[in-house]
Amino acid sequence: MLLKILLKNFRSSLKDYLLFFIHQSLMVVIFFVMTFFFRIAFKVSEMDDVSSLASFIYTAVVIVVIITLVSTNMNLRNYLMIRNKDYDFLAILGIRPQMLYLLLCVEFAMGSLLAILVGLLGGSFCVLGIADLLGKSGFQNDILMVSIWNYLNSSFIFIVIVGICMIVNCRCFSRPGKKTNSESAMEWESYKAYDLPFLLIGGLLVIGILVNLWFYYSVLNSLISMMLLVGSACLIVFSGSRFIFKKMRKNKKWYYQNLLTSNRMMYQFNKNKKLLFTIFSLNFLIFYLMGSITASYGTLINAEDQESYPYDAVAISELKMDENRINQSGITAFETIPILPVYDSNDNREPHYWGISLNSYFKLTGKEEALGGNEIILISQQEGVQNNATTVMKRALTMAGSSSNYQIQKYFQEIIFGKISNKNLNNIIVFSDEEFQQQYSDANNEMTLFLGKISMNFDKTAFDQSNLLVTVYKQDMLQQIKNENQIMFLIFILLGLIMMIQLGSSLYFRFFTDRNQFLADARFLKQLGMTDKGIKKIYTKETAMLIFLPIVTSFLWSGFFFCAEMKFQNVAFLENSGLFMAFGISYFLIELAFYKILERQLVSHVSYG
Amino acid sequence: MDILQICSLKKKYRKKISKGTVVETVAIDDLNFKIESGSFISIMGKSGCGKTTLLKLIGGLDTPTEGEILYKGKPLTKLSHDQLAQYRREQIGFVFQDYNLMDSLTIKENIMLPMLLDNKKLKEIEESVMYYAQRFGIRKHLNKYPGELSGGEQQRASICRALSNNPKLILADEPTGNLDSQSSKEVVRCLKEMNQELRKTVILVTHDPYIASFADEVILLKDGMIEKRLVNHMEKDKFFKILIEHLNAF
Ligand SMILES: Nc1ncnc2c1ncn2[C@@H]1O[C@H](COP(=O)(O)OP(=O)(O)OP(=O)(O)O)[C@@H](O)[C@H]1O
Ligand SMILES: [Mg+2]
Repeated sequence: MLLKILLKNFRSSLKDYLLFFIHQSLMVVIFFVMTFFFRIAFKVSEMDDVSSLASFIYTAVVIVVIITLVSTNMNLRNYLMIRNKDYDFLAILGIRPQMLYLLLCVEFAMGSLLAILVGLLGGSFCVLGIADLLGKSGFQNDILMVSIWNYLNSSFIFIVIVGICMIVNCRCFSRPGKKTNSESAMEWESYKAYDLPFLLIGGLLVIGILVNLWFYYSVLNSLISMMLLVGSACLIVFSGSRFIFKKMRKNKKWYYQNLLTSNRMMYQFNKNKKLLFTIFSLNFLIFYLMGSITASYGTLINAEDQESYPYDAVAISELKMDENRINQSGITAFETIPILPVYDSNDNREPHYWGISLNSYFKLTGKEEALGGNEIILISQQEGVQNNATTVMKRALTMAGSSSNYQIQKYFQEIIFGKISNKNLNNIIVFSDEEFQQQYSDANNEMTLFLGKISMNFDKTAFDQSNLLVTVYKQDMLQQIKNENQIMFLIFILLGLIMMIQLGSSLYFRFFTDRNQFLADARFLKQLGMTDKGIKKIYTKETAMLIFLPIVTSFLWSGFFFCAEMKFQNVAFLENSGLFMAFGISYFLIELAFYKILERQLVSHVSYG
Repeated sequence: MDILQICSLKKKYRKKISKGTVVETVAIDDLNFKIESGSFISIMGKSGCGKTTLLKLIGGLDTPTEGEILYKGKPLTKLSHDQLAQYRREQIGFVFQDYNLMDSLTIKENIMLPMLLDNKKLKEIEESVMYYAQRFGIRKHLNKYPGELSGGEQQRASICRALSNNPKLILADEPTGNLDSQSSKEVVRCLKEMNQELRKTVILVTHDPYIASFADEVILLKDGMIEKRLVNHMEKDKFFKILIEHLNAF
């Protein structure tokens, strides 16, 4: 009997069901692809334990699990809400609420199981495509295999997630009365006292975080700061906008003139604050991670012509960090080379030349013969002398994002030596370690240089104080880094996608459930003599706010935080921010398209109401 | 002077069930009548006889299939969308069974709304709100939200709102449908006062013969046509009895 009712209902509500079903299936697809990446990370970290990719993927998987949990929960809740109406008649006939819940859950579980099957199938196709892509760019095939492990794990985790959601929702379902409309219009008034303090606390928190980062920059610290920052950002954005709303309300003339618009906005904002919060924080996370990828690896992404490059050394990054810090941050894959200031004897306050040791030079170029034994080499850019070492440095700098000679100088000066010298960069010296030792121990010694006799002066304390380092990627590391980059980008697209689905469906269901109220209000405003155009305008504004407020604020916020963080690390973020911008803008454009669809679905109905 | 003239008005609802088959419901079938300015008309009839449809047509919320409604001699069908909106805003006050107050606005803001839409001066608006709120006894509720008031209070607020813009014509669709008899009486008394003191034309749709007996004239509708017009020359109680007789004969 139960089964009969069940099946009949299942069939009759197929259209409602389809939406949830598609959502669930997409979640499974993304989930499955994530497990695929997870496996790659696992394999990669088995082969070499220095990969930063693994930890990145672990983080991404955790994020995806959280998002899936949140969105499945929301999905179930919306589902219950919509289907609950259909089941009202059963409730009237006297079926216990627990029974009803069970019925709905069985329905949802059936759909979810089917979604898992469809999702796994779709996911397999996606993975095939991705594996093909990665295989072409130099990944070994045995890493890219999909095993039964992937299928089992992703379906298992998904089932667990669905189960958790059902248990969580059981409680609020058995409670009598609708939970959905608990947020009434009145609630606005009760927050009165807290907005300004919250705003201030948020502001202070941000300042604290920035100061903390300025003095104690580390990866861990940065991560914790980020979490705190999401919290403080929410405090600021939410209490801030409420504060502004209320201030606007105080201004009677303005408020009454824009009564409907401002009131509706306030109302929607208040009603949907949880949803806005979720969207905001998830978006922030995505944008932030995107930014960090862009900044750390953006330089490398540009390095497409590495085949034409004759040397092993490739790029510079991680500047002005001492070796301990680099080790702490786990970046052991890079070679770090000290750069030494060389002082003119006439003017020993400012370094006139910059040197690297022969050892480093050898590491950079792999060419010993170019040095001609133990001789000292002067690299002069001003005099236009070209030799291998110049090329190396130039090359390294070119990879770091600049191309012209002028830019090289500027880059070198500003980024590497900017803190010490504001003169033009004159010369770079490469000399042997022995020579260096000799010179170093014996100050005020004159050296015979390649271009003639220049009196020089090594300042011992200056050497000790300046811990300038150039980090150089080795050629074989480059391929790996590029591969990792590629995976990270794919993961980013996935994360972006999952966010989009989450955002889209949550807003869709929000509007879907609000639609009747929405249309009733529209009808009422029409009776009062508002034009269709005026009504549409109000609803367009409030819909736009719900969609764009969290996205735009999270984008700006993460951008701001990111720029600040990069400043502390002395990485020129803005020069490499193209990708970040592209990501942000395309994300925005997709949302815009989505918004247009929603608007068409909802607002256009106003005129028929 | 006639404020409304309804000439061979017809309204059909068409609905496509599937391809080819169209179901037609005739909601109003060839109505003809005039309403004098300053009169209190009550419309009665069985459920589904087209009362709401008629009010919607008069209020310009829907367009007739055939025929014409003349408001002060001007046909409504000739008006554009924006002009219709303006007509509703300036000439018509609606009162509905389910109050139609906006939940997110306070009672005061709800009452102000039509005047704000009309870009009146803030001072003028507040004075008008105070006047009507005082009159209908909801002054102390002005800063509450609709959810915090009783049904009768909400209905009175919605009457305030309908009147606040000083319309000529008040269209009330079962305004007492959700109220107990005491509140119903209050509401209809309010409408009557408006009619007598401010010379507003009131068209009231109701199922309650007692409420209808307040009117100067009762129009009985059946299947979209006028069954009978009863003019109230006598005392209220007498008229009430006559009304009941007619309704029973229906
Ligand atoms: N939007 C619509 N589409 C199709 N048919 C409609 C529509 N609105 C009303 N009708 C039909 O028109 C007829 C008249 O409806 P109307 O709402 O005017 O009745 P009413 O007299 O107000 O009834 P009640 O007293 O129950 O409110 C009914 O048969 C109804 O089914
Ligand atoms: Mg009706």
